[in-house]
Amino acid sequence: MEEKWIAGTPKLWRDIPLIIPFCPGCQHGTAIKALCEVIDELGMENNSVLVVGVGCNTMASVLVNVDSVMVAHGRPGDVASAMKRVLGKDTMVITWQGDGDTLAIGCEPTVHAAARSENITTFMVNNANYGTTGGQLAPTSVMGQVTTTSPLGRTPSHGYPIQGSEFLGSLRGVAYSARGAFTSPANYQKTKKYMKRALGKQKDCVGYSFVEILSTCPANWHMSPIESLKWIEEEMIPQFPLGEFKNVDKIE
Amino acid sequence: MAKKGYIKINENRCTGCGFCEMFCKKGCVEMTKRLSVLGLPVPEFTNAEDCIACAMCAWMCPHVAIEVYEYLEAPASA
Repeated sequence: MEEKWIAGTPKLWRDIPLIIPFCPGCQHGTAIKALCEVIDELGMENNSVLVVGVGCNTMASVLVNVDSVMVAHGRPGDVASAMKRVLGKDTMVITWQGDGDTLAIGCEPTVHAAARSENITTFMVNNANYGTTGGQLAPTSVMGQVTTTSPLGRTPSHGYPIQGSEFLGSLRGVAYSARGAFTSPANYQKTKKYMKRALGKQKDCVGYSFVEILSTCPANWHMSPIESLKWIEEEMIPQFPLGEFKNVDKIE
Repeated sequence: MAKKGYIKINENRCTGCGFCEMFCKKGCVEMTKRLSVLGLPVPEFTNAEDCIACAMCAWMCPHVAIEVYEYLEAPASA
């Protein structure tokens, strides 16, 4: 009986002899899977470089079967800019970062890579706290969120969340800016489309592209995986609306 | 009705989050109380008749533990 493989492990997924190092219900694996599929669909598996920062996102360098480099905390924007200038337009340089890596310690490299309109793509996986170190308040935590360092909920005295996609979308040097989530199969396909368009902007040498991906963090939110998906829909998406914020074919 | 497809669950990768059970619209995957070698609850493919190989379980699986296959011709026994 003939059968056809439909979906499952992407071609670029590296089969490591370890447990996949994410907590039960963490959607970072889904995000990495989408990245593998998008690189494969664009046919760039032999000339892509992945630059990862520090955090749970570092595991992307282990799981994606492309050349990768792990850099100092928050500095993928700088290293990727340099790599793109050296390697030229035939190589796709992708940075894979978390929200702390992009918008807390790495705010300056990210914003200035965008302002210089470096021809790189940044993917930011946003889980609304610092997942690796135990769930502290991050710049992307939503108002009212209970974290280790805001036990009574985030109040205006902690500041307001940074909405990375809208913020970077307002810069002149940015060619593409979008925000996606994986709360449903439809959102999975939409987010994959955003990721593909962002990498397409780099392939066409338009400029800096940025995609933010909302992800669950059940271990640090102290919820079950299914409750945390509902929490994204009810609490995060109203404060971090999904969609494309900038999509231009020429920077001017 | 002929079977359209089936899934394979890799228990060495599964962490038992339950997203496959939540997103399967046909109710083909169910979480069990059985534990894998990692000590985590594993799902089971219980309803092979209704599976249409839509691959939503595989898309939503965060730990890439599900492989979906579609039959190109109807199984002889069905």
